[in-house]
Amino acid sequence: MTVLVLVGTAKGGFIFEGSPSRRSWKMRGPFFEGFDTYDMIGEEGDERPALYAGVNTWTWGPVIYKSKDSGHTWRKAKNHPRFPKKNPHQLSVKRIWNLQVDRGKRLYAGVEPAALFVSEDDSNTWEGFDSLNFHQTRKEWQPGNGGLCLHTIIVHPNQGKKIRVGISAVGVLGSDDGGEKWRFMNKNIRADFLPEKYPEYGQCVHKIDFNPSRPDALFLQNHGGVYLSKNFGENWQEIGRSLPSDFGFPIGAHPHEPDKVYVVPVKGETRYPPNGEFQLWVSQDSGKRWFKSSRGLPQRSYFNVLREAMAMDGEEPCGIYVGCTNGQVFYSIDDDKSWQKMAENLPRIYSVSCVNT
Amino acid sequence: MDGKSKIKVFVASIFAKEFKLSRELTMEVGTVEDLVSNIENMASGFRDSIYDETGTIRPYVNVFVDGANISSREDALNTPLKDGDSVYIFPSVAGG
Repeated sequence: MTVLVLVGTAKGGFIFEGSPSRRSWKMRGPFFEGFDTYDMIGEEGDERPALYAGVNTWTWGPVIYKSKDSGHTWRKAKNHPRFPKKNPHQLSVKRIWNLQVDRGKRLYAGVEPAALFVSEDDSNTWEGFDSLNFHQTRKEWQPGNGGLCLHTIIVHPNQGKKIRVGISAVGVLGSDDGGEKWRFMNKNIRADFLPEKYPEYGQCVHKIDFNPSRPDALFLQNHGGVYLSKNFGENWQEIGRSLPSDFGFPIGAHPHEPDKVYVVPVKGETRYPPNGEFQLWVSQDSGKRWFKSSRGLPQRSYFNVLREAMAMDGEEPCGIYVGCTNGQVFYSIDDDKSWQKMAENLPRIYSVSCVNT
Repeated sequence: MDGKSKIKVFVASIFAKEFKLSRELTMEVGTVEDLVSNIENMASGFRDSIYDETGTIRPYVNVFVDGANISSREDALNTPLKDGDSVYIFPSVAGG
């Protein structure tokens, strides 16, 4: 088994191919040179998995690239997620933020301005979820600091019609019928920056993740607060009060241990780690207790880890990977006891994901 | 001529390379939109790289008609072309 770590950056995409021990890594790239690469993903369970990248070019707009040879060569897709011409809100796609492949081989794309698209033919054609993209409340949607973006797509692995999305700063929306009807799912999630602390929508959700073996349990990093839902987003409970900061961007559910979850706290005001000490925090009991994991990580650090820049490889023991805004990638292959540097001097890192081949 | 004019189009190398186009093209068209559609017929995806769903020319694309940058004009795509016009399609020089 070989682990590929896909790294999307402000100047293109990189692929790190691990040795069997995962102690040495061979870099390939950059691909899509010079262009914002917000997400790179791969289909699981294939010897030669298909890889996809969401690339935001300044010359030909936001586009999808795909590779059928483990990322050695890439081709621009025939078509890309786009709103209908003359749509009611005069929207045009500015950036692709998030890609997801579900088991039915549908490829989903979350974009800015916030909208969701799907391709059922390997990105040759795309269809928008109009009832979400032109939702009746859309005029009231406000952007987060990174823009009005749909950055998280969760498709229930056993019930493919159940979809949850995260939008900054709108919150969680969900559909139980494959995307025909959508409703807000922000019960008990705080919005500290609004006059009403628990509104129906307007929350600045930063990222959501889950363990596929227990998909109803969703972990959520909010703009203030870490949350758990035990019922696929119907309601939420706060689990991060003992963290040094409840602000952060990524959140990662361990792929083998359903109660294990990782966060990267940063101070909300500065967006660098508490006391300038880079640290992950891990809970093994769904957020009842949290422990710091920082051995091997730089102690003087004033960078951030963005929402898409944490990933796990599913190996035994599970490898955990984080990409930083200063262009460093750190990883642990001993159950977060210690961390090593995989790469440095890369451009600002937007995304990290793993593919096992 | 059916409202069509014979014009020359000069395409920046970044577009020519991406879409496998000749850098200099001659065609008979009536407007900038016709011109882009004409090139789209030769190179699928070209139109999407020049303007977005709302018909707005992308922020880092400049279209010059006889030396005038028409990119930010309202209704830029309907800019009429006349015989002998030269149209340049270049990425903008951005940054410091």
